[in-house]
Amino acid sequence: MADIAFHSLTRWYGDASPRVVLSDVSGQIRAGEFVVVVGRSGSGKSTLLNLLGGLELPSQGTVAIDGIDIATLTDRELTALRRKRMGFVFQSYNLISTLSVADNLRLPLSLNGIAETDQVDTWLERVGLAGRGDDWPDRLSGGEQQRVAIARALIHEPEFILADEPTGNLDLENAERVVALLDGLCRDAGRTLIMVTHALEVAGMADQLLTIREGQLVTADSQ
Amino acid sequence: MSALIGRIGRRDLRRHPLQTALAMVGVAIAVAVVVAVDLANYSAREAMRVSLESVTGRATHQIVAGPQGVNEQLYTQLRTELGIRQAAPVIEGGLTVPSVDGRPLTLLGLDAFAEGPFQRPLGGAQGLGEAFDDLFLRDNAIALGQGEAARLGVAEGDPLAVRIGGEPQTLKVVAVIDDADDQARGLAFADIATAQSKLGKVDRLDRIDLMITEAQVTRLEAALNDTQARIVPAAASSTAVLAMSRAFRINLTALSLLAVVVGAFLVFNTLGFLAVRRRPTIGTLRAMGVQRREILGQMLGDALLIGVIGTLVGLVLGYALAHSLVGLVLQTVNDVYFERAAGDLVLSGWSLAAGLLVGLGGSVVAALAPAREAAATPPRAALSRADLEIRARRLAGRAAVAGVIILLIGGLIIALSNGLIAAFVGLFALILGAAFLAPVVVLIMGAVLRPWVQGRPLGGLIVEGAVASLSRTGVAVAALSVAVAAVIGVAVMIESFRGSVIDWLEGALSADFYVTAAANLNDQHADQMAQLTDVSFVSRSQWYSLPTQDGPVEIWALGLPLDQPVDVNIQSGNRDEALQAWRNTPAVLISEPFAMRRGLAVGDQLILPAGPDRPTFTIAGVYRDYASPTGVVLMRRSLYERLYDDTAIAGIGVHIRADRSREAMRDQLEMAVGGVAGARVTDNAAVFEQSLIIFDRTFAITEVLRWLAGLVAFVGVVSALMALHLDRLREFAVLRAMGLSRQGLAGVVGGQSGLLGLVAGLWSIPLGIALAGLLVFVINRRAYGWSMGFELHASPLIEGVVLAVVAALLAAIIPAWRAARLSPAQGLKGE
Repeated sequence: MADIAFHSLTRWYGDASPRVVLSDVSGQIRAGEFVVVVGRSGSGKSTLLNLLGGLELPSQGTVAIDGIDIATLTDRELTALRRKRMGFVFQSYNLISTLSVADNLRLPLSLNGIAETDQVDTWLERVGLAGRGDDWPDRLSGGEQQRVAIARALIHEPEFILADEPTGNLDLENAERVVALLDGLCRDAGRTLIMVTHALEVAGMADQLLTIREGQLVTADSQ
Repeated sequence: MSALIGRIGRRDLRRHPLQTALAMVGVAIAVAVVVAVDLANYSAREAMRVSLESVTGRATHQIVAGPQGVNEQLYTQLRTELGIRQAAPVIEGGLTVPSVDGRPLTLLGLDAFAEGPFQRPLGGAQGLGEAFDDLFLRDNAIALGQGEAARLGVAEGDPLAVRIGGEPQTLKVVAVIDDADDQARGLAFADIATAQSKLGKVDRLDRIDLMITEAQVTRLEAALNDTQARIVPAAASSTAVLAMSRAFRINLTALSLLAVVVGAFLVFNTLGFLAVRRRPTIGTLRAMGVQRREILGQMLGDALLIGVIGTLVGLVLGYALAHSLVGLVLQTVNDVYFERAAGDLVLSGWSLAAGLLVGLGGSVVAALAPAREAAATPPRAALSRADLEIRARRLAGRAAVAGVIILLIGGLIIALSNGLIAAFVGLFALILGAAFLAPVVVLIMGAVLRPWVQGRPLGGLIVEGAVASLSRTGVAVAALSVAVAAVIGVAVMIESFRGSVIDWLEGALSADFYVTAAANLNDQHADQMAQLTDVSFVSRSQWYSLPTQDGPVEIWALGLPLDQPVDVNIQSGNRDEALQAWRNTPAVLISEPFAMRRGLAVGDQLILPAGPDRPTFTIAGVYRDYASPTGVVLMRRSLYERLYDDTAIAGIGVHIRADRSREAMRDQLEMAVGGVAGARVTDNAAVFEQSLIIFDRTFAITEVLRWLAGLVAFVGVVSALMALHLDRLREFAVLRAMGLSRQGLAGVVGGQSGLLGLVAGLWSIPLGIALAGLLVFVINRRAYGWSMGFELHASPLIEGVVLAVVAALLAAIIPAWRAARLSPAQGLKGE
């Protein structure tokens, strides 16, 4: 398991009159930690998550995994990093609507060349959706879709799970269930979980709390 | 509709420039094709009309006689005894100018004193001015129009070396006539006496042109009753030529409309995409109280904007394209219908109006359905994409039913009518019906491939993605399959036609050599050749264009030894009985086009004027012939000689004995006709080759048009696939986030496009074969009277499928490139 170190992360958009969304953010995430990123809308927390996950690269500063600056990786290497070592959960679930639930779960296995045994059934059972593999995503409720998304993020056993407001579209009951599920599944396997959220009650469950305001890290509390 | 709502639409178009531009390009190409074809057709028609009128002038009637022409004395008699003052004698014949690539000219011999009222380009004595005396008094003197003189590179006073009947002669240009409209294109004017002398028609006239009233016609007919001469309407010939070429022009127009159908798909698709993209905005506007008709107005306004810009560009493109097409159309017209049609592009207001109508009307009509769909958006945020696709699937079933009904109606129209226009309506019904069935074809493809991709997520992404986005993929497959079917259908038709022409040529060119010399051969030459030791037998042919009230009738008088049958392919009537009757009775064989144009069948009676008589001929059989679109009457030569008092021979077919040297034979034949002016000995292989060159040339314009229709379809597919893939940007971003490489993503996009291309290609096969069947068995028969075999080979079908797949893969290049360079973070934000 690896640590993530980020140093002086800055991200702006546009060249003529740059809009800075993240400024000089530094920190470290240790392997197996549950890190929660909080902040107001537009504060830059999703941008931080994207930078940590290699979905975009910083304008300045570094993100190092295993001591390697991911900005130095080629696109192919960066893609391989995401494919093998990361799993993403999004606010709007982002299941592939043209694939069945089971095929959505098979996708990471297929991309990583992992032979399928009983992982799909096992993970469907773990997220409480046993027997729903042949359903189409649009037949599931929001909470069910998010649980499929969690299973899809974890099925290929990545080291890092990055979740961008996974409960944003869910009611309180489903939100608690999803957070508990994510936390449990990650802790059991010693995976690193980085979650962006508005829900302050989730903050209490975190090992480390990062608060972002207007693009700057204002607190980095280890609990 | 408020200005603000209109501005929302226009801003949306500006924010998606590629999509908007593609729709405009589609409209522009469709308009360009329609305008170009219409302008080329119009120009060709004008060229033919001007050429015909330059020879007939304002004549109302003509006096003609048999192949020997009209006795010159009749002209004097007309003016003196019969009191017909507005009469002008005419002599016509061909010559070539070797120094200008053998450019053919018509030598028109006229009497300048009599020309005034006829207003031919010569313009009578006044028009000639000082050159009048020269033209009248000097031997070999000719006058040319300004344009023709420039083309020949000669000026007043220059000599002009020509060949008349194969013999070299020198004429002198004594006048260059002011001819602003180039009406004298292809004409050389001479005094009547000069023309008679040069063309070997001393004391004879080809015809006498008249400007007379109907009462005078009746009186004149009575006076001519006992002579060989007859009176026919002057317009009969030109009307017949223009009517013949009408079918060709209708064919071209129909092909150009194919581009319009495909272009309409494009606008439909773009506006459909706009409607989907704008759903959230429209939902918000509706919630704020904006009326449905205002939304409808916004969408139709956008369609009109696309239409206006596309149409304006199309008109300019069409004008430019017409410059290229007019040459191809005139080439075909000259090869097939009329050998002197030449001219430049003529602008026609109607052509431009047709372009405007097609561009603007087509854009608005194609936008109606998506615009109504958008206007029906409920006043809330948005219907989901899934809702739309579920609806699309439901609509696919209804579209299939509508498609089948349209196909049945098309079939009924073809079955119940004999007209050419009805056949084209049926053809378009076939295209439209097949297009309506395309979404169901995509669903069937999904059902067939689903078991194969189950458990293979990337395969599932390709197949299920195509099915799930039916509102996009259905349109793409429809547009592509229609265009590819047109490519296949026309290719199969041309191949079938070519095969039939080759079969026909092999039969028709049964002789080994053809000896030709217009009006200079006779039976002595033929007998001399028949007596050569290596010659088995000879056939003797004379051609005569018989003027009639309904236009000229081409008579082929054929003389064969008694033991030799006529080598024609009898299509209607018992072959043996037909040939027997042809040889032994006053019966004739007629070609298929002649039968079709005159509505004649085996057993019918045909009346052909012969001098003062109007003999009746029984039609013994109808034979296949592709040589003349006007049609031919094949008459026994002995019968022709008796009726028309013409013993000349235009061509001798020489059949040599087996195993004899062809080269030695050619030398002997050339010696036999050594002293005959303009005589040529041609190997049948050379005639065969030349015939196929002309055949291929006549289809050059067809080839251009079908590829243009294909181009519109290609733009349509690019547009549809781009819409499809833009819809899926978020999905692509998720895949990239999950670690699918750029190449992998490009592979998914390309794979899906290739699959859709394959489906369109496969669907275009039955459609293309059906189109070919319609072209071969219905349209060519109704347009020209030609029957032909149906030759279906694998190559055009394979080419069609490959074309569809390649077009789809090419169309995927931009979407694949955009998908591959997509930043996952931006894609997830929906940017």
